[in-house]
Amino acid sequence: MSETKRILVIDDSQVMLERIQCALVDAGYDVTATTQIVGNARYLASCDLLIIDYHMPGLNGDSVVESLRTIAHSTKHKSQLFLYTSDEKVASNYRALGFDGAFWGKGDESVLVRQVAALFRTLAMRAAIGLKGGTSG
Amino acid sequence: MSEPSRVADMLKAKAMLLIQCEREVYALRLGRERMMAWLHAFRDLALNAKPETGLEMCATWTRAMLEELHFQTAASFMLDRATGELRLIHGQSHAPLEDRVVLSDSARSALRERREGVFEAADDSGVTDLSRSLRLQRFMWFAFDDNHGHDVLLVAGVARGVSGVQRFASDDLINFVMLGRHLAVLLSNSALINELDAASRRLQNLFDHMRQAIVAFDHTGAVGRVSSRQARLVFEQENLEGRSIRELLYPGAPDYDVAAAAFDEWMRMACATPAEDWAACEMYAPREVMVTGQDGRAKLLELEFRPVTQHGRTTQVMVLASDVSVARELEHAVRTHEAEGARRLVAVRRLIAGGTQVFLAFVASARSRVASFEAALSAELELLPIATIDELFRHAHTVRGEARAFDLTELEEATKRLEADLDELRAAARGAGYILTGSCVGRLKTGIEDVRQALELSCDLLSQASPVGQLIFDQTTVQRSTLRELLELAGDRDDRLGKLVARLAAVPFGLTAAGVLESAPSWAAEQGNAVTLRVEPRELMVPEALAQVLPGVLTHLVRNAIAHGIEAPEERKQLGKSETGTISVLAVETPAGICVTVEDDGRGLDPEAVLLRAATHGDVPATELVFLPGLSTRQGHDALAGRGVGLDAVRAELARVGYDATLTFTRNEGTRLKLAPKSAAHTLPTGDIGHVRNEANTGH
Repeated sequence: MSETKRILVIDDSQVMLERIQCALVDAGYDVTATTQIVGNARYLASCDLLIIDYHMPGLNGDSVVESLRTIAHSTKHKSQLFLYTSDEKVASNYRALGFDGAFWGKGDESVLVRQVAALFRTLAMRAAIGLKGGTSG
Repeated sequence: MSEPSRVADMLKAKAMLLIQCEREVYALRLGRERMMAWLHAFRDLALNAKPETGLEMCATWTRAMLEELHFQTAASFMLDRATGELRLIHGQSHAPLEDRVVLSDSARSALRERREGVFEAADDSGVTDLSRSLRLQRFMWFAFDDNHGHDVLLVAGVARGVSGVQRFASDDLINFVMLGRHLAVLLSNSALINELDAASRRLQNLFDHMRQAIVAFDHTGAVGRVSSRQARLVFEQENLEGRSIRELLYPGAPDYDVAAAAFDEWMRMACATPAEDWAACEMYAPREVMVTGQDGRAKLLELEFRPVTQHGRTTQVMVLASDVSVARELEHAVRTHEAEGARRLVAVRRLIAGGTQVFLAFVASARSRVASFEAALSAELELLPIATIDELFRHAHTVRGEARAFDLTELEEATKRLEADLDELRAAARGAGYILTGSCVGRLKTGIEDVRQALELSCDLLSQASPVGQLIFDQTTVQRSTLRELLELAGDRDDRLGKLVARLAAVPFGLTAAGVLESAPSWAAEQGNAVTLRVEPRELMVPEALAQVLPGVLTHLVRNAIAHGIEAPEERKQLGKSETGTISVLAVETPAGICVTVEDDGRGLDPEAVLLRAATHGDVPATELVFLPGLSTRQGHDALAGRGVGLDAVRAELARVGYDATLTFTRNEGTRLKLAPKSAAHTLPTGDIGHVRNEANTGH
C-alpha cells in the first residue's frame, strides 16, 4: 500500500490531462500524462493503472484496445486498463469494450481520485487475501 | 352344543368384540381430541404470549390450561428457594387461590428432588404437603429455574372439594412438561428481550449524544435497528432499519462504480473477519465518501469502521461517519491562502499560474476543432462517411469535456446538443458506412454555429473579466527572472533593442490595478458606500519600474477616496448626486511618460480641517499639507484610513521611480490626484485626463 502507484493517463485534451494529472499527483500518485496512444508502451509496461479517454482519435476499433490490454496484462503486476468517461452507456459496457473497469463522472477530478483510491484498495485487499490463502473476489 | 345356542354364543362374542372395538375407537378418538387440545394450548402460548412481560405469558398459559385442556385449576408461582415462600404469579381455580403460601420443608424437599410429576393420591408425604398447601386433590406439576435465583412452579389439576373429574390421560404429564418448558423458554427470551431493549435504549441514548452518524450493518449490508440521531440527519432518512448500507454510502452509484464495488467486496470480507484480525481488514475500508443531500449539497463523510463481535465472530460492522464538508472547505481555504504550503498548494498555484494560458490553449484548440467541423461540411459532399462522423463526434466530446472543466455552461450545452446529433447520425450510418448529407447538413451546421457562438461568448467573458482586456489573447508566459536578466543586459540601451526589451518588460495597466479592482467593492461595503471603479485603458503598457510601485500606490489612493471622498448614499442623494460614487483610475501616455490620474466625485478636500490638523503650515496650501507625514483629516481611524499614513508614503514611493503626486479638488464635487514623471508633473494638460475643475485655492 505504501509503494507509490504509477498511473498513465491518455486523453486527447491537454486541458483535461493537466487537471487530471494535478489531482492525481496531489493525491500521491506518480502520474504520466500524454495525448498519444501510440508510442507509450514503455510507460504502460511499468504502470499500475492506465486511464484512457474512450472518445479520442486513434482509439478506433478493438485492435487498439486489445493491444493496450495485451501490454497492460503482460506486466508482472498486471496493469489495470480503465476507461474514463462521462458517457454512462459506454461506461456500463466497459467489459465488452475490453477494459477492466470504468471511472465515471469525468470533469470532476475529486470523484476520479476517490475511485482510483478505491481501486487500489481493492487490489491490495485481494492480494492480501491471496497471500493468506483465501479466495480473491 | 345346539345350533341355536352356538349361534347365540357367536353373536354374543361378536357383540363383545364390537363393544371392545368401539371402546378402543372411542379411546383413540378421546386421545386424539386430547392431543388436539394440547396442540391448541401450545399454539395459544406461541401466538398469544406477549414477550413484554412474564405475567402476561403466565396468564396466557393459564388460559390455555383452562380453556383448551379443561383443567379446573391452573396456576404459576414464584418459589423462593431460601424461604420456601410461594408467590402467585397468575392462576385461576374453582376454589380460592392464596397469593402467598409458605411450603413445608418436606414439600420444598419434594420439589427439589422431583421437578415434575402427577399427584393422584396421598402416596408421597412431600407432595401430599404440597397438595395440602395448594389445596389441590389431584394435580400435575413442573418446576424450572428462572435463571435469577428463583424457581417457577406450574401446577394444573383439580381443587379439593371438586368431584366427578376424570383421571389424567397417560400422555398428559409429558405434554404438560413440554408446555411448561415452552413457557420457560418464552420467559427466558422475554428477560433477554427486556435486557436487549434496555441495552438498545442505553446505546441509542449514547449514540444520540454523539456527533457522528452511527449505524451498524450485517453481512447482507442491511442496517440494524439502532442508529444515531446524526445518522438520520446525515442520510436524511427517518428510519434507517433495513436500509442498504451501500445505498446510504453510495446513493445511486451505477453497477460499474469502482468505489461502491470496492466497498461491497470489503464488506463481505469484513463480516467474515475474526475480531483479532480487524486491524488488517480495516486498512482496506474506505476513508471517506461523498453523498449528495436532497438539497443538492454534497456532503463529505469521513468514515471509521468497528466490528461488533459475538463469541469472537464479527456479526455486524459499525460505521461512524462524520460530516467534514465544512471543516474541509475551511481547511482548503486556509491551505489555498497560505503563502508557503505543501505540495498541494504548489499544485494549485501551478494551475492558477498557468490558468490563463491553459484557457487560451483551450480556446485555440476549440477554435481549431470548430474549424475542422466547418471544413468537413463545407465541401459539396453527397454523403458523409461514418469515419468522418466519428471524428466530428470525438471533437465535440472533447470540447464538451473541456467546457465543463471551465464551467462554460452554454458551450457545454451547445456541444452536448451537437454530440447528440452526431451520435444519432452515427447510429443511422452504421449499416451503410455513410449517410446522405442532404438530410443532416443543415442541422449539423446550425449545431456547429451554436458551438462557435458559445465559444466566442466565452472569449468575450474572459476578455471582460481580464484586467488586461483583449490583450489576454495576445499574451504568453515568460519567467520574470529571465526578463530581469534581459533588462539588466539591454534595458539601458537607447536603440531599438533597448526599447523592445523595455516594452517586453512592461506590464498592462489593468494588471497593476487588478488588486484595487478586486478589493474596492468590499472596501466600499465596509464604509457603507456604493462605488463604481473605472480602470482605463487596461491594455496600456506601463514601464516595469512604475508597474512595481503602482499597485501599492493605487491601493492607498483608492482606499483614501472611498474612506474620505465618497459620501454615504443618503448624503449623496441630498447633494443631488447619484447614490453610487465613481472613482476613475485613468492612464495616458505622454511624451514624458505614462501619467496616471485617480479621481473621485466625492466631497473633495476640507482645507479648514487640513489646516486645523496640520501642526505647522506657514503658507503651504492645503493641497500640499495633505502630503505631510502623520496628517489625516479623519476623526478616529478604522481599517481603511485615518491613521495619518498615506499620501506622504505615496509620494515617497513614487519618488523612488522619478514620479510625483499632486492633488487638486473641488468642494462637494471631487478630488483628483495626478501621478506623473517629475519633469511632466506640472505641464500635463488636465483636459486629457479628467473633468474635475482645479479649484485648489478657492477656499471651499
